[in-house]
Amino acid sequence: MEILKSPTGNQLNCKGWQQEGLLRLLLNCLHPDIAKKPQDLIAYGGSGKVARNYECLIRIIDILKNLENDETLLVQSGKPVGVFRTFSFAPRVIMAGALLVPKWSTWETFYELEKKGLTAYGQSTAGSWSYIGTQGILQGTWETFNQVAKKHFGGNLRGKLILSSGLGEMGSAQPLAITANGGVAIIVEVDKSVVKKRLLSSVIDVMATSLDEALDITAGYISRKEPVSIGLVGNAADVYEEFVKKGIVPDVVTDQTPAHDLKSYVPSGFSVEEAAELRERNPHIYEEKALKTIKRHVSAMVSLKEKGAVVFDYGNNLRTQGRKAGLKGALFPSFVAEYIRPLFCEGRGPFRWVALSGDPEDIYRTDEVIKAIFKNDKRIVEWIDFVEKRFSFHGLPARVCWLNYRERVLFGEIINHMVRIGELKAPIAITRDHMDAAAVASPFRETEAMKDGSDAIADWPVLNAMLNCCSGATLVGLYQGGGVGIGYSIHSGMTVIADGTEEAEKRLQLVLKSDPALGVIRYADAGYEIAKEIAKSQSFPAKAVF
Amino acid sequence: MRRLRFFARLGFLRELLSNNIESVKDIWFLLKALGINAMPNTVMVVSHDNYYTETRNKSEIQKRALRLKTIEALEEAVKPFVGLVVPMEENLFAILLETESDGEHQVKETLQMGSQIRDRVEDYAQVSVSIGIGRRYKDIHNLHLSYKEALAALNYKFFLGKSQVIHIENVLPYSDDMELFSMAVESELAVKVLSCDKEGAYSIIEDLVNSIGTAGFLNPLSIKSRFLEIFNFVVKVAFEAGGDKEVLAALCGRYIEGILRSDTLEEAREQVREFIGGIVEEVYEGRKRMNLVVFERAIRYIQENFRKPLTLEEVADHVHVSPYYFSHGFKNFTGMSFIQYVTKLRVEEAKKLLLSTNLSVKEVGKMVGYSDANYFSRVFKNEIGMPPSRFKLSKKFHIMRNFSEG
Amino acid sequence: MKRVIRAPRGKEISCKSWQQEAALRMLMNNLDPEVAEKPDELIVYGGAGKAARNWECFDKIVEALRNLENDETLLIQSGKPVGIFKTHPMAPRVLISNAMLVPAWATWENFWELEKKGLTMYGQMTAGSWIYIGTQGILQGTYETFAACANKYFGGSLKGKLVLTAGMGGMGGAQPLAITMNEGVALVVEVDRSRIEKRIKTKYCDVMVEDLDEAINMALKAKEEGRAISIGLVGNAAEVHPELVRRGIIPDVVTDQTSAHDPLNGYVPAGMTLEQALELRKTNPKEYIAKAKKSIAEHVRAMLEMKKRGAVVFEYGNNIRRQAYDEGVTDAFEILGYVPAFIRDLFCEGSGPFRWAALSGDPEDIYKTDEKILELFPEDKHLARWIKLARERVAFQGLPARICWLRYGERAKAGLAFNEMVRKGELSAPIVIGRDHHDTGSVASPYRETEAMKDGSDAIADWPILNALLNVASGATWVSVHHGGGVGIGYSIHAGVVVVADGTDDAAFRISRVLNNDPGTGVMRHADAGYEIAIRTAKEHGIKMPMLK
Repeated sequence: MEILKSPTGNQLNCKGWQQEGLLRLLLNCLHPDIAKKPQDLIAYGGSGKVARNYECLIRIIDILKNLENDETLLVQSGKPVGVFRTFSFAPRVIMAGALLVPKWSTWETFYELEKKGLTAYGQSTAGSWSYIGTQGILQGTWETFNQVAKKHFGGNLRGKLILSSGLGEMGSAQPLAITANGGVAIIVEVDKSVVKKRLLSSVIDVMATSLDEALDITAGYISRKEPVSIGLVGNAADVYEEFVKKGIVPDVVTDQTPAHDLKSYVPSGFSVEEAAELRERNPHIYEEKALKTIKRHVSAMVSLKEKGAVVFDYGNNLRTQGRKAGLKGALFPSFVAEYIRPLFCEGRGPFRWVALSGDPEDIYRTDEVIKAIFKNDKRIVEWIDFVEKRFSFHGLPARVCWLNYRERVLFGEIINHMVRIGELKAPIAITRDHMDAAAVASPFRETEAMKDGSDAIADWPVLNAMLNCCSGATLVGLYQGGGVGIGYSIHSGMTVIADGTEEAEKRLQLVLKSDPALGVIRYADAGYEIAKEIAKSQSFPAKAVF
Repeated sequence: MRRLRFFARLGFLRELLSNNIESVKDIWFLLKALGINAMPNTVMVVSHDNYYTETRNKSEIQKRALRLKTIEALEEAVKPFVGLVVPMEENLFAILLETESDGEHQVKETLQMGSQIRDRVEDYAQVSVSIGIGRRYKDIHNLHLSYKEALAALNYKFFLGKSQVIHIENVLPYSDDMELFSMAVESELAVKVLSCDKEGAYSIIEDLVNSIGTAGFLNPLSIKSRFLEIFNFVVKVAFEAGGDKEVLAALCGRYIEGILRSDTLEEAREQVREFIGGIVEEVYEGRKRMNLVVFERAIRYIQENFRKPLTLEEVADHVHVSPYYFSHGFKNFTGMSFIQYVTKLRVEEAKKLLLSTNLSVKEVGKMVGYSDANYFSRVFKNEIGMPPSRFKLSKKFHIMRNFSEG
Repeated sequence: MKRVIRAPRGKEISCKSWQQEAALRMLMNNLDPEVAEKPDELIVYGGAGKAARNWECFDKIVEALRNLENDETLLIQSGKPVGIFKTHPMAPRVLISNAMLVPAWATWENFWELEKKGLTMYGQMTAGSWIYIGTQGILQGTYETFAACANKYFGGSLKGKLVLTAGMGGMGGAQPLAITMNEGVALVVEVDRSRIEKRIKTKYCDVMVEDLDEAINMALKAKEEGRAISIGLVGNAAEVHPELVRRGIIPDVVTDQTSAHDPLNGYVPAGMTLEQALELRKTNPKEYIAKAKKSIAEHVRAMLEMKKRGAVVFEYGNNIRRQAYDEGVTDAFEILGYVPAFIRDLFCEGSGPFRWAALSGDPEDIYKTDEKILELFPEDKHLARWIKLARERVAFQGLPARICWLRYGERAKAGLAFNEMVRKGELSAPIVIGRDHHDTGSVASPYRETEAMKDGSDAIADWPILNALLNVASGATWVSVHHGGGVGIGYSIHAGVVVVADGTDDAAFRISRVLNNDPGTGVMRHADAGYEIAIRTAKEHGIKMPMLK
């Protein structure tokens, strides 16, 4: 299969930049340096696809190239099913992905239907053509540790010891995010070759093979309040227990091992190779052993919490597995409830923008502008400086930055202006992750333990999609199963193209207000004070009815 | 200006490959400021095969000309691709490439590129070159990893030979099996050296190199350093066997460099061979020098003692060598065997006595170490062509002739 | 407190334009005592289908609609108004999402728990989306269904045929009239006498009988004479049906419209009076459900036995087969659903339960639109018969309204004509145009509308979402997405749409987009599933389907 690449530059292949923007984003999701398996149309996250199959992809490209400025393409789980006459301000693409009637919302039924060619799994941003690579993971992790610093340590992690584990794709963002926030990190990873790999690519600073060695190294850095990251080869449960035994209490403890998948979690006492061998030979015993180790792992974290460490679950289902292994009680909170929700309450979320020109300079320019407008916001400036230093662009250059409802509108308008006056080489696509305030209902993650118990209420993403649909979004979609799998989440995606026109300005003004403002209302409705206050404030762009 | 920019570019790219630039943004702006339009993600390294041996006798100017020609050839060969040529060391050139595909495809694609580049350079510069290729790193700040891999890949030409294009993906990691380098090799080699058996020493080296070729890949550096250990041992043996300190030091200096700079196992083997050859020669020479002393002393002793019954064993013992060695060495040194030599001495002495005294044949025989008169007569006749009694009769005549000449 | 809500009538409006006014009047109309099942509990129809979460929410919605600007949009989350956003004039004025749950939590149990916490609301289909127009809406669907049944099995008429069914609530109340309109004999079992009385009052049902023997005699006599009559029998289907089997009385057609989809609030278990049932429901809901499910099983077993003995038996979309199946009646699905049996062919043409109401409150306006329909589609005899019968037999409930099944193309034509009539002042006030969620492109419901789809796509729920989003993007006045209508929580996802014909150019633009695109998604959905009629329809009307060969 031929690998298609996104056009760059400022020449149109479509009848307008709205369509062109979506075409480029779609193909960008399949850029070999961005997509996991471009030949299978999989962008990321196990099997998150951008189109149902190659034939559908080709047709979508063809349609986007010919789509009129008052037409709307309907995409049903990655298949282009219809083109309808709407009007100029309507979305150019409307999508629904992997949605099933709830009673049938299981992986089993899903795969059966997928096999019949009737549906496709789009994860979150794969299905909505707004995946931009791993920058989002880095940002999410950075944001979490930044919040940890803010909430517990007066704004930075200097002189603080953070213990975590897992240096896989998700976990390897941790050492970078911790040191960027000034902290000292010990990250436990069972696979020595992975630690070596991270060392070579400067993700971690030092490799250690024993806790004593690691502690020796960190002691100096902690006392001098300088950042450093240690990759410690070992089993997380063993190391965490050793901390307890030694009576050493890190300031922060979390975990990013693949605890959600017992088959990937390496039981204590096993090397990676031995584990693979046992998994092959006797998966049942393997899982039993893994669960036993997880129990020790979680217990150690609870002990460290009791001794004063800040402990949280990092979305890998560790606590659920711990409970499955017989542990009782609240254990420790999740990162969403502790650190992300306060951001959501302010309508702050994973805003991102993509330079359709393909030229990094466009993004660096927007970086400069964002740093200039929000120069008093240390969080934004520090993040931009950090990501500029540590992150290479692939495919269409893009930037992720968590902005609130006011900042999004302001920044959106400025970008559109920059496009209009030719300061940028081509239009910018403005989009976001589905893991945003109003955009997702996911009781095991984003909407876990809501104050009012509304975890499973899925009206919000539906309202979010419909509202964006009539607020000028260029692409709108509603999907099932992103992040946590079929049956466990409903979420909506949104993209709007800032092409410098007046119409785009209007689109941006409306959609960049409404989209996050609905998030504030969702959290206000659930009883969160910050959200309630914001919703009541004069400058809030929508009216909360209650 | 252009020249300045050229050096700035060179400096920047070398820094990039050495992982000395921290910020991705800085990298991007430097690329742009220096007019580099590519976003390299893969590194290839090129070096001449057997550069050391082939340029050993060339002048610096000649070497520089070759270098420039190589760079020219590389620039030309890289043209069809998005790539930058960066001279790194005397015989090492990096090519920074922007490749599209990943994984298997990248291997295939870059191997093809590499072959094309090799062919063009070999054609243009009339030399043999090999190329090492690293993996593709999509993050530019990890480009140094590709460079390191390319160097590692190039190292494998040590085993594979000349004119190679090697991708890091296609080589096995070095095994750390050092069995075939056991100490037995050294003692065997010592025996051959001590006995000045050049061919025997060569065949041990041949076996050694062959066994390296058939075992998994050893790190060429380990092999080289092991060769150097062998050098060290052999030199010690040679010195004790009488090799000259200065000569041995010169041999070492030359061949240690040769080993370290050899590009292929083939070349290294040649270096080892030459070295061992040189060592054997020197041991031989040393032997010769040492024999001089031993046999001079033996001859002195024989000259002092041939009038008594004298055995080879007795003389050998006197000069502290084995009878066997003495017997051989003596013949080498004097061109005749011990018996012949002693006989010659005795017969000469007997002639003097027969002419200048009136002693009887029997008495003369006794005086020169032959207790048996008959045996003395037989030996004398064999040497002179007449029995001692007849020789004694020719005394007058002998004197006369002497006078007539005076 | 008993509040009586009735939509304002006439030309005077209390909102900033007819778009908002229409939403306001239709919300209120849903709670009109003539229309709603239990207006004081905000329940419109279908067991527990509500128009607003509670009275406080209702008042806030009314207030919000009255103040809503012409470029603002009100968001309703399960019957609660949550926010007002600035959008633009061509955007919908109201967006509604009702009873949506993350699928793994989508069970009645979780739903009621959340409902108790005041976090959600069951909106059925048109209850929570403010376009319920009383039983006429159902009447027409029911009429279409029995007509289709008559066509398929009895040569076009139910004359001399006995049709046995049960349930005379919001949905089932249409059955007696629909059957007699098809000239058949209807024996309808209903546990709640007040419901039968209500249908007698609105002329939907002819007689009410309390005694089983009397009802049987009456029915068999009418059947013999070929006389159309509808008999409302006070009784419990789980008792009556097995008794009929015992007596060897096998009807020609058997179906059911009890609220079996909701075993707690809908279905009354056998062996107890309505009052006893209401009491048990409160005191021991668990026991109630267990009893109800047991009765449902008995009920379905009797239906299966009748099928075995030659009756045409079909499920009428109340999920009764599933409930019985879960209760151990493993052959429950031998009974066919009414959609694959009778309705799907209509859906393939983009035909569905199109409806409109006169915001003036003046029946004259509806009669004028009736004339317009007859004028626009003179060839359609079936349609003409319906309009004629409806005018004779249908008493308006709340705001006068009309329903008739129109195809792709016809809907936009009718809508534009109505808008023209408003513009010219032929009608005394604007017309609101909507439809049931039970339409061609707007529902995924594997036990009803999407049962046994040709390509197996029964459970794919992308289609109603695409439908809703496209309607939003096409300028509908309000759009809704619901969960659980008809068949209960977990079993369906569906969307509603309403557009107002206020005589303006804007309205004409909205109508031309919405009334084409909305049924267009239905044709598309069925063509995608491989139905020939739909493919033909798509091609005939130039509906652009990129993957269609």
